[in-house]
Order: sequence, then structure tokens, then C-alpha cells
Amino acid sequence: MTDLFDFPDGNLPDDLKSLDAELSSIRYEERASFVPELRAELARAWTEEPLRLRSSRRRHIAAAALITLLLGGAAVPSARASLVRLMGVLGPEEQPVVVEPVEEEVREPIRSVELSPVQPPAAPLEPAEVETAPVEEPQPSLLPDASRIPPQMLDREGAEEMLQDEYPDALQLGQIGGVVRLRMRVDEQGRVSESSVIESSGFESLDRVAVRVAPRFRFVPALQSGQPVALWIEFPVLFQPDPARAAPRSLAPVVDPMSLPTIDQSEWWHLSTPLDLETVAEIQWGGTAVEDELAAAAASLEQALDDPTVIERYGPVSAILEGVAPASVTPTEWRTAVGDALSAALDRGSETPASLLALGRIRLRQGVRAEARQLFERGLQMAIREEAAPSDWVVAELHYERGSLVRDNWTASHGVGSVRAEAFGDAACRAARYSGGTGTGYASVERLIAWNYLCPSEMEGVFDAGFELRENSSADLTLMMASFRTAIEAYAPHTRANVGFLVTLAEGGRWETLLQAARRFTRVSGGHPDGILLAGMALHRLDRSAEAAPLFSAALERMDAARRDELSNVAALLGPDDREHYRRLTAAERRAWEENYWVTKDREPETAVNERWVEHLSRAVYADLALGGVVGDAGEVWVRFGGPETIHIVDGGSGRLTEFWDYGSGPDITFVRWVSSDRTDLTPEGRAYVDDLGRIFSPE
Amino acid sequence: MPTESEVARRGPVKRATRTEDSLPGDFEEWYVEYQSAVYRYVRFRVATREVAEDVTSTVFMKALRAFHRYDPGRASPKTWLLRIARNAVTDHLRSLQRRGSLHVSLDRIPDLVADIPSHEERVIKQERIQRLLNGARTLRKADQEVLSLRYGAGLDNAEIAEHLGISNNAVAVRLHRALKRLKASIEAEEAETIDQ
Repeated sequence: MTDLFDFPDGNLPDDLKSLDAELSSIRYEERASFVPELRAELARAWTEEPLRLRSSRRRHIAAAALITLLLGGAAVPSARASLVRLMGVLGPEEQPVVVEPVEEEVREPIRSVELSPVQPPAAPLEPAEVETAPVEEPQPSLLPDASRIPPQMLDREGAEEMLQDEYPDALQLGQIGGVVRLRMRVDEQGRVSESSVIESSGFESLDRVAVRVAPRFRFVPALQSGQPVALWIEFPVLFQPDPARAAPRSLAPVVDPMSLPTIDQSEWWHLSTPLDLETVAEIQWGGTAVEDELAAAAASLEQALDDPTVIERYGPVSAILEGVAPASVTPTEWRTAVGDALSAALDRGSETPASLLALGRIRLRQGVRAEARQLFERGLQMAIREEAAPSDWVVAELHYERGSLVRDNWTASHGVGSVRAEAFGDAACRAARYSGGTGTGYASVERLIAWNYLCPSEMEGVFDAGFELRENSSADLTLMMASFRTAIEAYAPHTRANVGFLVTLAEGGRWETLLQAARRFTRVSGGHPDGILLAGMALHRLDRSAEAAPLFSAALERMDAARRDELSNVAALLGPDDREHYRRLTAAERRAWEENYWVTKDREPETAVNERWVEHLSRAVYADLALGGVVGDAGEVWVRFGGPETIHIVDGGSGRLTEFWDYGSGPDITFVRWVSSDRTDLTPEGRAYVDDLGRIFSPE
Repeated sequence: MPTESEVARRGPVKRATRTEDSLPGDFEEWYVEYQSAVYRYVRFRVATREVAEDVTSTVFMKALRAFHRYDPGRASPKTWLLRIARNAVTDHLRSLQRRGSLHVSLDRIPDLVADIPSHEERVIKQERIQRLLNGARTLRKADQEVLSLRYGAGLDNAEIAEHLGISNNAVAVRLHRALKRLKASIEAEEAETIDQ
């Protein structure tokens, strides 16, 4: 069987041939009846079982959320709209939901359907709180209102229970709720034959729950002149999280990782039209959509702050929103002054999600992480409650900041549920190979999140095989994943979450996917340089360097000078003498020097593109985005030698990981990575080895 | 909204009509074609025929439940099934680990087939093979995986490469290294036995 080996040298080494033969000779006798027995068992399961793995795994949480069903009075026989609370209590700050008459479809009365006399609802209605909506023009109807009786819901408790069961755990833990407004067609049998969301809760997973459960609602059908008729109604469903289930808590319930919501690939990729890369050069960074979002957020902050002197001295307001101090004041002074002003605004009740975001960022930089997180969560709650939705960008930023804080806790404690890196061997994502090494390695959070996007079905297997609960911290993991996911969901151009996601694709070598995703991100972000760079990297890795080169050029033109200089820096490629000379040059001299340098390195001068320059940019972009910069130790090695064949990671304890970068021949290059800072430094031996290599030859 | 091509890539979302004793069409074919590879892969890594049957059942049941999510753009059916199998084996080994030893006694394994006429030689051969398998179980997971794909499921390099998401060359290197480590492991154990 050695012919299957196909070793690089064409042969299996002699000393292993006999072992290969022995192993190849192993045969087991399969029980003859096993194959048909299993086949029959599968057929039985296929025929009989409800094959819904996820729902069968869902844990029923005892302390379930409050879920309120609001039956709209779409068919109330007057132009008045009613609000009937069937169960539960709206939060004190919850705005009442006004149900307006909807366009209705009334079929011809179906006289052939025999129904027993209409019964009142299974349970009498609670004393209804009726609110009057503005009088609407009566909708055209085929039937006189007076003779119409709207559908009555049956088994409200059952319906609420179904919704409770489906309430996504992650949102429950994150204390996230909302109102989903459904339009449903209740047919002549009282069944919901069609339903759709006419107003989103702002969270796709809640919307999906409502749509999924709606067909199981049962009604006494609408009656027209005593005959059952089909009718469209509007039906809001309020999801209100149970405060007792907020996370993280010392008594947080164990969460089944299988119940984590996943986003179908097609949903996130819905920004469908591929970007024509030739037009990238025409894209102006800071597209209209992005600017509008930022302007809306800034206006909201300005309104809350309501202090022109602070804005004048410490602004502009967009910088306050980002948490960036102007050059005219020291960062410490700026944080103190702006923090005080924002606190004062909060104290006088003047707050918006944007002001909470801004203050949270300041507290974060001041090291008051608990307060920062509280502010982000408060901002999210406020955003959810507000009828006039705040900027999507603000929501995304709030989610992302909160997710980052949760992740920090997760990483620091290293004791949440965890996924052994080896479990990722089964994921379709090739990134599994870099998921944290072997032995005691654990997969990084970012990769978990990205994979949950990319291959949810494989992730089931990964969690199944590799998820280990530790203490109570799985709640953190769930919440964190939900936060990052929602950050992208909430606002597609969201830079931080998206670029992190794209880098993960690059780490996994998923170049086709990266290309598509980077194009989309570039488009929705109005031409963000990182999107263009990553699209260029993907093209280069797909052997399309000629297309990659103009993208790199376009991206370099769009970034600030400091970053452009860093990405273009070739010091890592030079021998000691040249490097010294290069470092002494002025910026302008360097540009000229680099240009000449790349001319000499062009491997195929007969082509229009300088492949070596494109390769360099690809490496530099990866080092910059994934390794913390081009100038750090890890970035330097990556830029010089490219990516290693494998990276082995050994957990040395105390937040210290040792990484061995294996380039296939010669000793591995060793690094130490500090979990707390995610900084990766060469060990003294690693540095000596790299320097030796530099003295011997300058890398290609 | 997903584009048409995106929907197409998402795999066989079609719902087969469920009739008595039927399996969805593609799945039926998969079962016929790959049941044996899955079983052999599993059997290579677990101690007994009974466990191998249990684990194989689990694999196909999981696959059936996830069938509608299978994406032909990502993996061949065989690779997909073997990935599920790997999870199932890992589950099983994990449960053993919790309970105690992963080692199997050197008693002859009833379903081990050795095509040797002499009873005595067969016994010796079986013991040797069992020693090999036990040795394999002491290797790190990645080595076990590549060996069981090769000698259990009988995959060639290209198929292993697809399964692991690495290059053919890397597969060859990994196999080579795994065999070397297995050889060293067996030699060490034999030396230990002689010392005793």
C-alpha cells in the first residue's frame, strides 16, 4: 500500500515499510447483520422522528422570560385601534405599542365550511387596557364593519410557552428584548397560513423566533356574517428578558453551547452585488452612508452633552464619540474634563446611547472597566427601548465594546467554557490548524466567533466534541459571542468587528471567501482601506497578483502617512548594513529608495506587476492586522519569511504561551506570547536565530 | 436576500418525501457507499466491535439529522461523514478518559482478521497487531487521526488532505512522522517488556 503515500521523495523510507505493511494488513470482520440493522434504524428515525437537532437539545430554562403577546385589533369593527395586553407587564419605560388598522384581505365568505359555534377565547381576557390611536381612514373593505368579528386567539399560554422556549439564550443573558411586529394571515380554519415581519425588533434572532412560532398559533377564525373568513391581522410580540437571568452572574445557568444562535451565511452575505474591483479607485473613503451614521451619532451625543464650551474646547463631537483626545490637550486632562461633562449630563437625565457609549469609552481608558461595561449595557438597553432607533453604528459599537470587555474577562480567567483547539480539527474551516495548537491549547475567541459565522453546522460538531464547561463562565462566552455577532448584524460597515472577521478568514487561508467578504465590506464601508488591502491579499494568494497590485496601491493612497510608511517599510528585509542606511533616510528619500529596491527584486520584470512587492504587501498587511503591527517581533518575522507551515502553541501557565513557528527545515522560531496583552516577542534564542539568518542572507 | 447561487451553495435543502422504510435519496447512496469506510475508521480507533457499531450508528444518525445542512461546496460526503465520525470517536474517547484507561487488553480481539493458515501464527500476528493499535493509541491525537484515516478508512493522500484541509505533501509528511513515532513507541514498549 505504499503507493498511496506519495512521499516527497517518492518512496516510503525503508525502516517504515514493514510497519506500513502491517498496519495496512489490519482487517476487522464486520458483523453481517449490522449494516441492514443500522439502515433500518436510520429509516425509522427519518420516518418517525422530528429531525431537529437544535430544538431537541435546547434546554428549558426554568426562569423563563416574560413574553407578552399583543393581539392587534386589526379587525376591530371600528376605526379605533385597541391595545390589549394579554399577559405580563410592560416595563415602565416601554412605549405602548399602537396597533393600527392594516390592509386586510377578506376572502369571499366560505359557506361550505362547517364550524361549530364560535367559542369565546379559552381564557377570558384580562381587564383590557385600551388605548386610542389616532383615527384612521377606514380601510376599504368588502364587508361592513359592523358584521365583522376579529379572530380570537386560543391557548394564549401555550403560545407564550412556545415563545419562551425559543427565546435565544444569548439574548436572554444579554438582557436583550424587543417587539416584533408580525403580519399574519389567519385562515378560515383559524390557522396562521402566512406570516411575515413588518417591523423588526432590531434583532434578527428574535424576529426569527416570532416567525418560526407564529404558524403554531391557533385562533377562532374571523367571522363575517357568521361565516368564517380569512383575515390579515397585525400581531406584535413583545420579548422581555427576565432580569434574573442577566449574565454574567455567579449563579448563571449552564448554557448549552448548541443553543447558541448562529447566523446563516447567506444572511450576512446579503449585501449581494460583488464590488467591481476596477471601481475601487473611485471609491472615496468615508462614503455617504458611513458619514450619515456618524453624523447622526454625533448629533445625538451633542444633544445629550448640551455644553458648547466642552465641545469647543475638547471636541469635535465626533472625536468625543470615538474617545480620542485632540492634540491640544493631554489625554488625561481630556478624559477627566469630558468624562465629568458627560457624567453631569447623565445626572441631569440627559443621556442617549451615544453619550453612554462615549462615557463608557472614557471609563475604559481610565481603567474603570466595570463601570464602562455597565455604561455600554445601559446604552444598549436604551437603544432597544427607544422608538426612534439610534444610529446603527452606535448600536454596533456598544455591542462590540461590551463584547470586548467580556472577552477580556474570559481570557483573563481562562476558565469559562472552553473549546480545546484539537476539537477544531473537524471544522471545515482550514483555520482549525491554527486554532491554538495542541496539548493544552484552546481556541481563541475571535476564531470561535468567526467559525460560528462561517460553518455553523461544523461548529455543532466542534462544540459537541470539544466544549468543556468550566465553572459558570459559559455565560460569558455566550454573551460575548452574541455581542460581537450583533455588532456586525447591527451595522454591516462596522469596522472593528468586520476587519477582525476578515482577518480570521485570512488566518484560515480561505481566500475565495475572504475576497468576497472583503469586497462586500469595502462596498458597505465606502471603501475602507482594510477591506481593499484584504481583498488584495486574497487576490494575491489566489495567484491573481496583477489584480492585487492596483488594490494595494489604491489602499495605500487612502490611508494616513504613518500607516502607509509602516506597511511600506522594508527594514525587515535588509541585511544589517542596508538596514542601518535605510533607517537614516528621510521619509521622502525612503520612498525613492524603496522604489529602486523593488525594481531590483522584481522576479519577472517582463510582467506589469512586481510580484515580490505584492508578496511583501500581503505579508505586511497580515502582520499589521493580525500580529499587532509590522514592527513587532512577530510582524518582523512574518514580513521576512512569510507564514510558517504550522504554529505550535504550548501553554506555559500564568498567561504565558510559547509559540513555535515551524518553517519545515531548520530550528523553529520561538516566541513568547503574553495573553494579557496579546503581545508576541521572540525568545532570546528566537531572536538570535533570526539575527543569524539576517547576517547570512537577506530573505527573499 | 441570498442570491440564487448562494442558495445553491448551501446544499441539499430539498426535502425528500418520507415514506415507510425510506431514507432520503442521497443519504441512501452515502450509506451504501461509505458505511464501510466510516465503520473501519471508527473501528481502528476504538477497542471493540460493539463500541464501533455504537459509534458508527451515532455517526449516521447525526449525519441524517444534519443532512439538510450538508454543503457540497465545502466537503465531499465521505469527508463530511468522516468528520462527524471523528467527533463521535472523540466523544467516546473522552468518556473513556473520564472513566479510566484508554488502553485495551492484549487479549485477542474476536473480529480481528489475520489471513494466516496456522493458528499459532495467527495468534502471534493478532497480538502484534493489537500491540500496534495500542501503540497508536498512545500517540497524540493528530497522529492517531492521520493513521486511522489511512489504515482505518483507507483514504489516500488526496482524500486525507481534503479531510484535514492540508496539502498532499503535508499529509505525506504527517504520515511519515506518525509512523516514526509509532515505531518508537512500540520499540520503547517492547524494550520495557524485555526489561521486566
